[in-house]
Amino acid sequence: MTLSGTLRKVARSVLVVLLVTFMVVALLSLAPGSVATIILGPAATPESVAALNEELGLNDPVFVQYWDWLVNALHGDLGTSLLTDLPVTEMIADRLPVTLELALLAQVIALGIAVPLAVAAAARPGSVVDRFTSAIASASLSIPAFVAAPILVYFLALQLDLFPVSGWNDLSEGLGPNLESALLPAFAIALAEIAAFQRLLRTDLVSTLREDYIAAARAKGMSPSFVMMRHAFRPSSFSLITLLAISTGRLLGGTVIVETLFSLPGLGSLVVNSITARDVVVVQGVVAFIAVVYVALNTAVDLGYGLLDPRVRKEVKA
Amino acid sequence: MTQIDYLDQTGGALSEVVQSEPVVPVVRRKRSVSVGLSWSWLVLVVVLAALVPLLPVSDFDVAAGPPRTPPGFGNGLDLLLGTDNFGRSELSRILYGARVSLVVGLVAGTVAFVIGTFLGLLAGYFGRWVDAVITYVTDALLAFPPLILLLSISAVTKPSLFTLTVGLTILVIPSFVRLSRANTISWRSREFVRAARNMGATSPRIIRREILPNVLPTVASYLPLVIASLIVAEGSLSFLGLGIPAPTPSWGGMIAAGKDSLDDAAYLVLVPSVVVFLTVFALNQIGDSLRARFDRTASD
Amino acid sequence: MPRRRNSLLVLAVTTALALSACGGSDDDGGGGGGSEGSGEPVAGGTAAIGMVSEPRTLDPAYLSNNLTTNSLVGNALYGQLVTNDPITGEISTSMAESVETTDGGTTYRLVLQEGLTFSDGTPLDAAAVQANWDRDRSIELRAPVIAVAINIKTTTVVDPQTLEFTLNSPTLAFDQTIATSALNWIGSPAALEGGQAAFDAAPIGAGPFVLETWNRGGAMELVKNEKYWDAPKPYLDGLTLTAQNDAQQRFNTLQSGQADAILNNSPVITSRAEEAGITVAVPSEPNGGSTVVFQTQVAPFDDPRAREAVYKAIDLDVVQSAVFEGEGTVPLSLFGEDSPFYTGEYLSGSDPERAQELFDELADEGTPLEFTMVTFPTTEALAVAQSMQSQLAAFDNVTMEIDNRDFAGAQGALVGGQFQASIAGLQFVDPEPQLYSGLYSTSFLNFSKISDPEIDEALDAARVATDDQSRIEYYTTVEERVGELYPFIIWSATRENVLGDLQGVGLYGTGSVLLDGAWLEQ
Repeated sequence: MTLSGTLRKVARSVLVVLLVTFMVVALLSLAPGSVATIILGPAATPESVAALNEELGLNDPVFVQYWDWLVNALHGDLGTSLLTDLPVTEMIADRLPVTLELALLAQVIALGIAVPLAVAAAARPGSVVDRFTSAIASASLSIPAFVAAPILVYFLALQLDLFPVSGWNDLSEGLGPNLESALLPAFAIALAEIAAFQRLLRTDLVSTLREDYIAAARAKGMSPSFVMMRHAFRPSSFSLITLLAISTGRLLGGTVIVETLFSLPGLGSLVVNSITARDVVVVQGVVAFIAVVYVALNTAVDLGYGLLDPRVRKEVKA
Repeated sequence: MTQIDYLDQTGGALSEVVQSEPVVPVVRRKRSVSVGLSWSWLVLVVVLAALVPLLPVSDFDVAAGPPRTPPGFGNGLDLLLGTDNFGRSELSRILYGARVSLVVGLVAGTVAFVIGTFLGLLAGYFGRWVDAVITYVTDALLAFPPLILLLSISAVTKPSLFTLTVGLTILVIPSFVRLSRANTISWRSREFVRAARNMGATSPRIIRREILPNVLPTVASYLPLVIASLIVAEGSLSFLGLGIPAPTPSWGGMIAAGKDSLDDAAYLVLVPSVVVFLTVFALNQIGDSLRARFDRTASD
Repeated sequence: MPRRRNSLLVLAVTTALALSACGGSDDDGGGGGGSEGSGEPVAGGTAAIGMVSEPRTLDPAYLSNNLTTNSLVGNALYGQLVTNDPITGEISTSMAESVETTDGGTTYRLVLQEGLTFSDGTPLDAAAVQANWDRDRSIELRAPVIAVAINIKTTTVVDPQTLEFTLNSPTLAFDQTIATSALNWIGSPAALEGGQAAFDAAPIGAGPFVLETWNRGGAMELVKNEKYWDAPKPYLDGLTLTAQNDAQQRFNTLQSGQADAILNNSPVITSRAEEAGITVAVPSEPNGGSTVVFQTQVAPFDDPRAREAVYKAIDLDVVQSAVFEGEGTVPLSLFGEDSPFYTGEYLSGSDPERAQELFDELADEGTPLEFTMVTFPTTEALAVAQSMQSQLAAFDNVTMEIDNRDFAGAQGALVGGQFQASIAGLQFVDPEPQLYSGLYSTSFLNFSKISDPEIDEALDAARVATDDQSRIEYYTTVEERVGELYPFIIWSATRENVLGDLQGVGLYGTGSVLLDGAWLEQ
């Protein structure tokens, strides 16, 4: 990987983020209704809405609004919410831990299920076990969050009273209550993640197990499980970590349904509420933040892959 | 949503790397039972959805019986799966809802497939600024959290079958662009393509005659997976109350409408949930088997 | 959550309640403040309460005095100047000692109790009320309260306890306006000057509780105000408030023991709670109700026949069955039967034959009725629209489409008058001020934009009528005109309440919840 190649990738990422954030302003400026009608409430008149829109700068051309936002954003100022008057950076800082914890916990759960499935499948590719575990993984992929969540809530929270039905207990209230409120939503998110992990790991394991050094290890009389864990799993886990990084970036914006259904104060519910209230500044700030993280993680993975994995160091395409 | 992203990952950064690894022999799924069952289920849904106006069930927007009649035999076809809060036949609504889900999935998926493949071909074949422009826009769309993008689109337009389909199309074009571009790049430098160029073939001809036939099956094999993810996306939007406007039924909307009645009318959630699950599962199974057959880069 | 859930205990308690409900004779027939169990309030404990919506800001000018919006928060942080009986409308004083007019409805004197202080120790005096009200009526602030505050013409501090104010349009029942609006809430003027973000972080009022933390989208923690004027109230040490818009989700938190009480506006949930043996406290049953409003200034509903046709085509019992599983009530008059203003039934029921006649008549004139109804993204609003749509599908020459907007979109359409039909609401105890502002031709809140000289005249006359009998007569005229003009369909009476084990909850106005007297059995 040359320096200019790296620079090119970084430049490309920056451009992508600019495009994304501009799309937000452009899109929401077309939407009917304005944040002014929400602020002013039912007593709003067309005149007072127009006056407030003017005051908030919502009548400026899209390019002007975007430029103003961008200049401030480059100074680390994402603006203040039109609805709550709070700095957007502060709002993101408040909400991020919830979404991040959900995303990470979901991945841990998904891994906890996917790794054994993948190992069992890879041990004898093509066997009944392989097909069965792969089918389980793809079945879990076929349960959308909006199907899983109401049913999980009904049975596990309402009928069995194992978890709270909704709401969030902050980590400051203790790890126990915190996990209690996070587990069910994280599980609903995890369902769809299992398949990706299982497939990737299985494929990797199968191909690693065909390598000569594995045959050598087997020939030395090592037990199959030892070979699997010691010689095959370790090198295969590398691409898994990669997938984990990318999924985390993506899940920051992918927990919307679950956060809405469980009333969790995360980034997803923030952005939904802000879109429906036309709080453009917040939507833009959050989307920009998610896009930066997503693009940064992807770029890092892209660059890191060439540097770290000896098997692919020889050839990396731009 | 997640499936689209999963495709992005396999069609994106990872697969570009994975490609250079030794290709793992495909697991031979000889006449897999689950794929066979999946095809049967899909055919059943499609046929029933197509023929529902001819079936002896009432329309989806009129009351067929008392509200919240539980499912049961012996009350006629209309009441087989019970009735909803308005007394409308669940069976009728499931079948008409299948039309919406399948039309949205098929149309959005196919249009995105055509546009995405075309753009991916251009980007992969011509490289340089064409590639740059297409890749930037694609990456930007991918970095935009999908459901948030959909919500923004539905805030702008009055939700309808048309606007929803357009929004979903935009959502999945990038996945096809990436797949098609990655495949085009790998075919572009093959001997037979170089040979054609040396023999004086024009670019449009090379794309059409040499590259497209090789790229098409691979990209097309992802179509069922994309359709599955679109059905989920449409359901998610309906679930947030911003999907297809009433009275047209959609599966996501039916689950959302029934979720408050889990206590006394659980079938209102369970019936559409099972249908969504089976359909998405069937599409995924079929997609996987097609990919295993047609996608050279697919690694399982 | 401050109170730990204990599955076994919850199970035991609900079973006991369910059993006693099955026993079936201790049903006290509604009414009152949910004070079953031992009568003596117990001090201490923190109550977890589920609300319907989270306030956007804690600035009192922007809070609205309804159960589904943020009356609970307003009363908890700021207390209240006056209260009224939720049925008769009779005024009781609270932080104000008296509110009286000196000249038949133009000049008023508001006298405060002595020694009121904000939670930061500064005095709550006439100057503080003046500062708040001047803010409330300021065109620059444009807070929602301006809809009623705009009637205030001048404010003058007479002495630290007394504020004199005059009105633009003489109104005899202006104390009702105070009781049912945000005028009832006084925040510290100094704190309000600090701007929205600073005020939301540390709002200063004189209510029974003080804000401790507010985690937006999550919980709002309030603690007891040690300086509260009405000691020994409040009994609770604190409140943990969370908000959930979905009625069933909110009920789930109550059933699972996460919440001690929830605010509820769904008759279905009320009946489920009764079945489960959960206490239903402070039933709020204001006049008016939830409406589907017609925009009477634009086609097609500028034609009264079109309004009448849709009105008569819809069987509201069917709507009720679809939305509230038949647990709600269809009002037959603007006023509830218990209201002093109730004089009989003026709202006609459905008449499918007449409806079809009118639809045909309109079609024969070349304009078959086609309209779009704007809905808010709530389960109930969508169900109303769908039920109307499926009923109209049975008629010829009429087509209804649903325009399913998000909150900003729907609200924008409603206040901007850019709709043909829309979901709305009109609730009131005394007809003043909500019925006035809901029907007067030039009012902001007259969403139907109905402009009828007879209605205007009657509303104006009722404002200054000195005796109850003539007020009743004027409002009867209004009712009759509404029955003839069909500006809206009242599809359900408003039935709100507080569910759960919280004792001593109070209520005034249109669902204004008081928690200073609330307590938990330990």
